[in-house]
Amino acid sequence: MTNQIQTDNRPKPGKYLTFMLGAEHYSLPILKVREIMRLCPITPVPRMPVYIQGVINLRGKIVPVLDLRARFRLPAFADQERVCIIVVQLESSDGGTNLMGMIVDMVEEVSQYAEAEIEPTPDFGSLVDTRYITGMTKTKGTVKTLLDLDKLLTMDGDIDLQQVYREVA
Amino acid sequence: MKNIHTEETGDLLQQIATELAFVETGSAASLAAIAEVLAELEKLVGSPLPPAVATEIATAAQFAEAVAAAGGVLAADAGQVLQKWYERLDKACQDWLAAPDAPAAQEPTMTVELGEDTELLNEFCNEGKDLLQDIEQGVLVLEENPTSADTLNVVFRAFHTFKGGAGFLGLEPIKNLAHELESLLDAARRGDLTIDTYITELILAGRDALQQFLSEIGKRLGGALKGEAITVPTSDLIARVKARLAGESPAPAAKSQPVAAVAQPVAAVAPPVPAAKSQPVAAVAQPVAAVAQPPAKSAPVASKTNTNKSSAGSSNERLASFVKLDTQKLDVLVDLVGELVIAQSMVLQHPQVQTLNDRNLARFMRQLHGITTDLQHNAMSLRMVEVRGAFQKMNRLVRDLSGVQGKQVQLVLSGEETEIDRNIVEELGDPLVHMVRNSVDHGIEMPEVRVAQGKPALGTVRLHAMHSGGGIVITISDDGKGLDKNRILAKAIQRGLIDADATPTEKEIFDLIFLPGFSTVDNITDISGRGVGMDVVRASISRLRGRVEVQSTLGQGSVVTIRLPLTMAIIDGMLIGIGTERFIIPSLSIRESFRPLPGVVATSQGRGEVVSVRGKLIPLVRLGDQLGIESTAKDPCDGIIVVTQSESQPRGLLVDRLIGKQEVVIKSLGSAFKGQASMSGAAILGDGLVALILDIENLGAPRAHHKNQPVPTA
Repeated sequence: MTNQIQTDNRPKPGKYLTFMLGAEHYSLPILKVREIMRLCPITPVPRMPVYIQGVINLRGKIVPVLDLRARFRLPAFADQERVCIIVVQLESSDGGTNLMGMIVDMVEEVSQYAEAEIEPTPDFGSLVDTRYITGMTKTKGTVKTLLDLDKLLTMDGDIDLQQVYREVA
Repeated sequence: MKNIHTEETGDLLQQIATELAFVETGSAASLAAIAEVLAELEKLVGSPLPPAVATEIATAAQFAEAVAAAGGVLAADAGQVLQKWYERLDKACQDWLAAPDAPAAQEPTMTVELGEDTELLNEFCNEGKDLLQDIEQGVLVLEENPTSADTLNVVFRAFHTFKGGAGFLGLEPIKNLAHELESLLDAARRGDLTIDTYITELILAGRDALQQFLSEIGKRLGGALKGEAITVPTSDLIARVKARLAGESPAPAAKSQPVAAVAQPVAAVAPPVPAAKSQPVAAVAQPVAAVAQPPAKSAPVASKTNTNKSSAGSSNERLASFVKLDTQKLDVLVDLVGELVIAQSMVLQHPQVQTLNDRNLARFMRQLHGITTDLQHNAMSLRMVEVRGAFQKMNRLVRDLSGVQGKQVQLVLSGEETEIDRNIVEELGDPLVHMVRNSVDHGIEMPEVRVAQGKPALGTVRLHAMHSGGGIVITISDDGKGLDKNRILAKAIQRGLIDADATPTEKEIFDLIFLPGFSTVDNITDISGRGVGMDVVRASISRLRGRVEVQSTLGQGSVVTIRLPLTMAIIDGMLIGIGTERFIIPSLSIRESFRPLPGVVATSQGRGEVVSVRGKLIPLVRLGDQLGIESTAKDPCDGIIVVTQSESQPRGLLVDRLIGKQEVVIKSLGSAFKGQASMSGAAILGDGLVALILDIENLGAPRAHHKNQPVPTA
């Protein structure tokens, strides 16, 4: 990662929604969050990467749902008690907005981060894909990872989606 | 408009004649008086001066110079020389007045054909009014911020749209004016020009001229002045735009040249120039477009208020009243109604509701059902439009094409009142253009060839639309030379599109013309023959979930048949089950379905399975395997084979069970699934869950990779 990109994507201070995956805390800008809903039946879409769980009916809209655990290659979570779908709104390349659901273990809280609390992404070396991490914060004794939603949900990340599509088509 | 000068020209000539009388008596001072009158005449005639008049004026100037050089002494024959000169000048002026067109006064005229184009004109006017508003607002922004790229684009596009619409309707003066203004804005967009007040005023003047046109067209649409030609002065404005584009600065001379300008009433109230006397006359006789003088800042502003008051108000009432609606809002409404229908069936089918046994409740339920059904039909009909508009656009195409090619072609339209989803009509335009072009270009022969073959010299292209089987069928037929099977086959083999030893059926041969890169025409015309016609047509029609096919008899013509669904929003689907999953197959693609008996499925090379249907072997696709879902029908005999008809070939899809047939509202899967090809969308079922709609065209199509290649374990 170059410094250039990090300064460009520097997270802005403001309100963030925090949620958990296993023992890890993550945050995303609250303005991107459209709603939080209980886990509901998901219609799988065949031949998709494992982290694409399928689609749900959100009051008449078809919304794709992504399993964030699978996305980060974490082991599957057994206890479904507090599992939620966070529906986020993304700017699409054609100027419109897209909704997308993310399955997370549990939603924590909304917290306010000051600029000073946000630190740049440390260098994990090749261990962690930092392309969709905009920074980290340490508040109330817990470290939270700030996610770049647009990159996380639209970028192919570690899998070439187009390639996958071609293979299964 | 020249005739208004007749009187004044006559007056001036009379003055010169009077002065000449003094010259003959030896008074050199009269020459100065003549020069003064000539200057006025020059202004009146306007620029450019007719050559004859210019010559005489120059002669007079030379004469006066010669006299001045001689110390102001007139030669003895001066009187006679000047008398002859005056006769020539008089003649030149009279010629100018009598000539049909003097450059400065020439204004293009146009007439509107009210017959077949009425609706299009109406649409053009309605759209035009919005565009004018965009332009006006845009200019106001540009006056504040001359470099705003967005605003420049808006104004540019508005003129561009005007040009397109006018060009299509054959409204040449509008097209020309819009074209010049478009060029002006394009230059500004590219940064070649900086928007200054002169330019904004040119734009506004152009806008007002366009408004004048619209108002005139509106009057004719309203039945007034039927058939009368429309004349709105534009040539001066166009000349000035051209001059500005050529890099000429806004010529201060323009200030002293008011006569040439087309004045308009408000601006004429306070003309800041010497020739004021002649101005009101011009204004009264010509109370039309506001072509204001560049530096006179007040003029365009005044003209704006003027036109707003008069023409905009009057033309509004005469055009048919339509509500212009954002199509997105319409789509949302249709979506919501779809949701309502689903939600209703969810309530009605709820087990506990089903057990209720109340006569009143049952009646209310029926009432609710009736209302929602009506509502749904109404909402759907909002999006339905007649195909008339799309068909009528072909009229002009045929007229122009046949003119260019020297062919005699008539276009016969029928069934234009057939209604179809407006989204489909919009998408239908290009394919129709392609096919009508093909018919005229490749189908219809030259008149002499036709006569030699015993056909009427006048070729006929027919465009017909009708409802059929829950969809719409559009046929484009011509009585031209038809398709030459052998030539198509030869070409296909030459291009390597099929094997040389293939023996395709007639239908398969005709289908070849839909392949990319196929064209039998050896010389490429600018109209067609680049081989990008029919494959584009097929692709567009496929996108609309329709089908296209060609029939042809050599020497007698061809028929292209397009089948389209009525709407893009709802399809009739077959709900099928595989394992625990449900999918929808569009009923339009299903030919039949049956439970196979033992022995109808055979394998080849241990993998490729075929099923025998009515004596024909078609490939069997195990849908479960294809989609990566555990199927309960390991043996085909435990499942159901759904025979689908796609563009390429029929296929048998092995599914576990058929669940039912139902109408579903199609929803897009969104950009997240843009790359995948096996699903064309999704629908929400009665239980509120989502079912995916299979894309039969792409499903099970030959893979780019060999089957042995492992699919990545993503």
